[in-house]
Amino acid sequence: MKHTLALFALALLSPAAVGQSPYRVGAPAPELRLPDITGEHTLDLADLLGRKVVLFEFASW
Amino acid sequence: MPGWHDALLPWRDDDGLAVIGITEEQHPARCRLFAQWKGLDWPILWDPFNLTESKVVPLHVLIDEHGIVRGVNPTAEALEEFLLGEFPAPTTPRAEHDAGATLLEVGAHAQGSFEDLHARALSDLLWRVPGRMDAAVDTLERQAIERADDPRYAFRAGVARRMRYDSVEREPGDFQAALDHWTRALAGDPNQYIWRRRIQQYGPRMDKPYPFYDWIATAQREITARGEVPCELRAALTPVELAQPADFRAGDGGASEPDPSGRIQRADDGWIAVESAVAFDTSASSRVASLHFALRPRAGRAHWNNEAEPTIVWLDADAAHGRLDRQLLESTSRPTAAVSDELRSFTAELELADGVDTAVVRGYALTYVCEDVDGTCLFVRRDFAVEVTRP
Repeated sequence: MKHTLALFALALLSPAAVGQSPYRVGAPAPELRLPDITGEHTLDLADLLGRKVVLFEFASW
Repeated sequence: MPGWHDALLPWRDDDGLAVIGITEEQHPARCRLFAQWKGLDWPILWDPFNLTESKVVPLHVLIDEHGIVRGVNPTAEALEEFLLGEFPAPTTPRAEHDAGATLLEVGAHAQGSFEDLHARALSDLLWRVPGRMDAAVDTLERQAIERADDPRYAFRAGVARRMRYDSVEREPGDFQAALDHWTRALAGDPNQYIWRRRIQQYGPRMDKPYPFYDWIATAQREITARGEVPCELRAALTPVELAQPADFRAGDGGASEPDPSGRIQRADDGWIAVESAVAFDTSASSRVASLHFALRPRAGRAHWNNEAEPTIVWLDADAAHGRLDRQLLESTSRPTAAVSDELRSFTAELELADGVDTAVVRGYALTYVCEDVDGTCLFVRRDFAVEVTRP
């Protein structure tokens, strides 16, 4: 299966900004358990083992 | 981000690709409105305490099926490679727990230990455990003092104080305490841009990298036009959170003081509570500050009378110490009910004079209130003053 990715609007950051990420390529992702923004659900990243994950860390501002 | 959302749709399914968001902001309801507006239907986690320890956003992270990070802020080609690729299982076993796992894991540490109390306080606030707000705030503030050499604890204590400020359990001084904690945290790690943004959100226009929440009115309008009900915001927006970046400009010198001779009857603190908070710009010089004033009638003593003119505030500063951008402010609160008791917020900016570290801003509110006991309604003046000291 191959999908076109030409429309991806990647928010590329500077190398310095990448250096300010706690995520290290080749290392385990941090194990985090947090509520969602509705306050009704909790998600543990460890529960997603076995699946690929695309994680967006952002703010609405 | 919506570009990512649309492009990843064909790849998502219950067993395959998972798309997860983590928002690094104080108020989850605002992100919820954003997600509703943009139609983001993947789970978005709330991380106001910056437990991920990211220093900037946005970040896009690719994690394989074994929990290994395979890319950070990838190019389109790298993302496609990730989606199509297969990754070997790691040869070394994953550590049972890392710092991120145990930070919020109540019971993972010795009962009563620093880590145990920290986990409980964060959990109580994140999951809004009823009746635990004050104890959690106290714990995080005490720990920020105990670990004064680690600015993460100061940041988290600030988040906790602002959470309480936005709740029905608010205590006097919560907002200023939040700003003070964040200022200390940022001094300990000036490259932490998520912490910096938390101050700038409430700070002066000259320090804003962008208007933080000016999209909200458009979002609410467009959501309503779609026939949906916009998510409720819970915490009220202040004008500074909507303000456009702009240089400081001393203004309205022509405004007339509404009660120059002080003839209007005074209302004391027993009728109207006044709270102030000062948010300085985050530059090294810190010369411009946002001044926040919040007025509320005392419960059981008085309430606003809305059948006359809106509340106005007059501010004055000694010109030798600083300049205000505005002196005459008018409440934007326009309740339709005849009486109400909502918080009325006012903001202005002050630029300290060269070589001056402290200025005193004096002011008063003129408003219509009614006594709860006998129903007497009066037009009153409530005096106040705030000391503005460079951090």
